[in-house]
Amino acid sequence: MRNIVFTRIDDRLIHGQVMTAWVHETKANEIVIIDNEVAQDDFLKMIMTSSAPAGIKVLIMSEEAAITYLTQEPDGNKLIVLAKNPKVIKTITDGGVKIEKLNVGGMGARKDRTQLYRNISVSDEERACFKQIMLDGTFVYVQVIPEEKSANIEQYL
Amino acid sequence: MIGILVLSHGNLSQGVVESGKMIVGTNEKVDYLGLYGGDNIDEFYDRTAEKIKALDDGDGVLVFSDLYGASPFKATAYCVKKLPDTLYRSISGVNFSMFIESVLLRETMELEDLSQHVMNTGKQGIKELFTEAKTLTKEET
Repeated sequence: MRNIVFTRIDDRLIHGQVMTAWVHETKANEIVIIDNEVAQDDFLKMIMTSSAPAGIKVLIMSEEAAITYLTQEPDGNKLIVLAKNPKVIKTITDGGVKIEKLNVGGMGARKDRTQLYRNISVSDEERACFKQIMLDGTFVYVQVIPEEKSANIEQYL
Repeated sequence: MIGILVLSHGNLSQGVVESGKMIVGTNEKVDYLGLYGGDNIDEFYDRTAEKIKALDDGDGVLVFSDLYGASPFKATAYCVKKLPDTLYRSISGVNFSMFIESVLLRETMELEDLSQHVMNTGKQGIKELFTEAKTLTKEET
């Protein structure tokens, strides 16, 4: 397994200063964005890469490619893994990627979603995904920025 | 006429547009969209595309956003696929001088020239009082 120091769900993926704060907090030097849509769009990939904090390596890959990549031997890099929703995380953990802790940083309101905790909203499918991820041994918590206290979401699911 | 759209986190874009009206007197073909905490990002991308499309009468649309790399700016990158037939330019780091200049000059320039021009306007509008005063005093002597 690659050395994953931080895994986060954020439907905005990389966005400006927030990611900079997490990079400082976790001392990561590589960001792996797992998103099937962005992975096949060279223009979006370029924009997404350029919006990352300076001096950090950014890789954008499909769920399938991420499973292969993340289960490889560690190469000394400290990785941040970013995905838009828990379905992506469940796919990669089902594929053999081990994730100890999962940070939930941003899941906005949507017609099929209901509020879970503060600004975090989930659909029924996503709720079930979180439960399964927890059963599989991953600790799931909400924390938008490093300065904020983290909240265990088990009680809200 | 070139349409103008301002995108931001929260009320900043609304403020730029409404304060701009104080100076230029018109809000014709000028619109704004704010992203708020808890908003769904995919819906924000869709609404951005709808706004750009609605502002385009064939002359194209100039889109301003508040922060390079952040979601309002990224929305304009997602629009490339959503709006294959709409001409637009997307400038981050909006400030009041570039916004006003773009409203005032949009009927005299093509979209590409206007976007290059107002980026310079925006940069030139950033000055520090005492540094400027020093420069001006030197020039006088």
